[in-house]
Amino acid sequence: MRESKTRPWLLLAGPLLVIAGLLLYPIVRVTTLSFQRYNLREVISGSPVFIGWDNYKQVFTGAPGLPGSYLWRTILPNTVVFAALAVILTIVLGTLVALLLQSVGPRVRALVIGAALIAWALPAVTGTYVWVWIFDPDNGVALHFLQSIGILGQEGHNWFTDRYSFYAIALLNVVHHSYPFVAITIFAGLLTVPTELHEAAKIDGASAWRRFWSITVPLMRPVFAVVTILSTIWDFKVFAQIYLMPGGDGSNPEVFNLGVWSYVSSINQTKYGLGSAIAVLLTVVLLLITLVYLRLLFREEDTA
Amino acid sequence: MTTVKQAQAGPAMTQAGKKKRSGVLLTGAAWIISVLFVFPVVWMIWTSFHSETDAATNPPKILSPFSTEGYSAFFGSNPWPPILNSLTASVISTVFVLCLALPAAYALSIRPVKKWSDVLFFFLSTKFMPVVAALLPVYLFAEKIKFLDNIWLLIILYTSMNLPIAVWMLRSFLSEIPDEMLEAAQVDGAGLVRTLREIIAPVIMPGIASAALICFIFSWNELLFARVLTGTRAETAPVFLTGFVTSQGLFLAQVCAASFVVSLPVLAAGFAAQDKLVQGLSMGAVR
Repeated sequence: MRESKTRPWLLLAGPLLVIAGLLLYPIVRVTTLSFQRYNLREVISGSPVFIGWDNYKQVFTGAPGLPGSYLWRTILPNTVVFAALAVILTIVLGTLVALLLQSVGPRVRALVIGAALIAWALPAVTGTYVWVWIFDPDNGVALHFLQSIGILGQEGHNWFTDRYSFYAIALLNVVHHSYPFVAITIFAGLLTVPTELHEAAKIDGASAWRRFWSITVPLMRPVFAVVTILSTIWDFKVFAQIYLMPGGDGSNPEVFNLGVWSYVSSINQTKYGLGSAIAVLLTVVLLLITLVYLRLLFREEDTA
Repeated sequence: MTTVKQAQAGPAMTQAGKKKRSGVLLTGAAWIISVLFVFPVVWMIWTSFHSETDAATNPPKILSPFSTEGYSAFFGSNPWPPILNSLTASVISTVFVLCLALPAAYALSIRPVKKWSDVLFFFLSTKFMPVVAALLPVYLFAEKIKFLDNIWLLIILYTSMNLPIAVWMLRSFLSEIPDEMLEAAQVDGAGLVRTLREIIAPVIMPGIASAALICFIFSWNELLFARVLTGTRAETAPVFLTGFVTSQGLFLAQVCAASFVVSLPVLAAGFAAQDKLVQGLSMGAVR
């Protein structure tokens, strides 16, 4: 085509500038902040102090008022183990629902997709509150249900004070919110798998299980790669779902993850430097995951 | 197609009974899953239409009289300015996203830039940036130029937040247009504007619709930026909701009514445009 070489770049200029401005500026700024002491006193005086790696030392070996192993024993498990479990559950459930969508009639399919989209579109804020009310320690539906079938006695139980049950509820909330997207994406991918392959394998006597692993999975590898990495990024970044649960807003440091810890340090405690160092750590982790994602994605596209 | 069906017909006859049973099982599973998907939403709506005393009883009364007590309490707290703010921020940022993303997607798919994969790399790499890391820089900058508690700040942020997804999705839709169609247009002497309006627009209208819906939903649901960067003036609906829940948390019918009203626009959008969303979501990630 006879096209000037600059025109495509002119068309791209707007978005590139907007994104560069709103991506590069914060990254540079947050990194600078992470090397400064910028607490309430410096906020008032308006002159932050350069302190080198001190904020990072606090992140890795304990900030004032927190145990030295806080990052390793609390924050990282809450972030990494939670994300790993959430990703696995999301992908497995998403795949099962996608396979189900493929094998039911169009009307039932429309019903499931409609329900899934409701779960997906529901704001994280609302979704989190609803789960918190359902598990309310004094008057929740879950409490009543468990008491009526005799699992729980009259004394009741507060699920939000204990880290594990707190994260079990967060897991339920996050998976419920994110697997509709995965199910719909995988379902769309399944439609591209030629039915002839399955029919041929069926005639050869291959079981459904066998056909799934030797036909569907290899052909769908790029789709699985994309949804896995996207889910990993989302589940590492989970914020509202933790912050809005009882204790997540700052009162119970046992239940923070990297994002919430950064937010509480910067916004609640006005330790801008420490909060920034935590945010940089989270960004680096996510950057590494994204690099893996891009490599997988584009290698697939090149060979296709 | 017909040969496949015929081949299936033979052995399938003996398995008809078995097939029918597994069909019923699958349909049953589909129903159960659908109920689980919507359970929190249904519970929220159900509770919101109870009177405060009925909502607070344990065991919860399932068949108690219908009441709009919760809604009158919520609307009595003047939620309209935040709801309007949310609408403004979501709609205007969506329009901005589309204006910026369409030409970019066009440049990337139909008239490929030489380094298009690098450019796409750049757009996609923005996904890693956690909002929490951008929060302080944006806050400090906005404070310095006196731009805090201003709805335009959120509009700019939401635009840049949703731009990469929109570019990615629209590019997928645009790649569906056959090159011959564009070449034919060029032979006819159609200019860029005419080509855009008469060939490309009709083909990607569904793409625009689904990108717009997804951007709208993401902006409407955003909490972190809105919570830190707005105050009483530019507060959005989700921020208002967190405040309302903090002060009225003991009144379950009220807070459920509030949650439902705040979720209603996105739930309605999601429900009304299922096909568009399914298409958009899968286009965004699959291709």
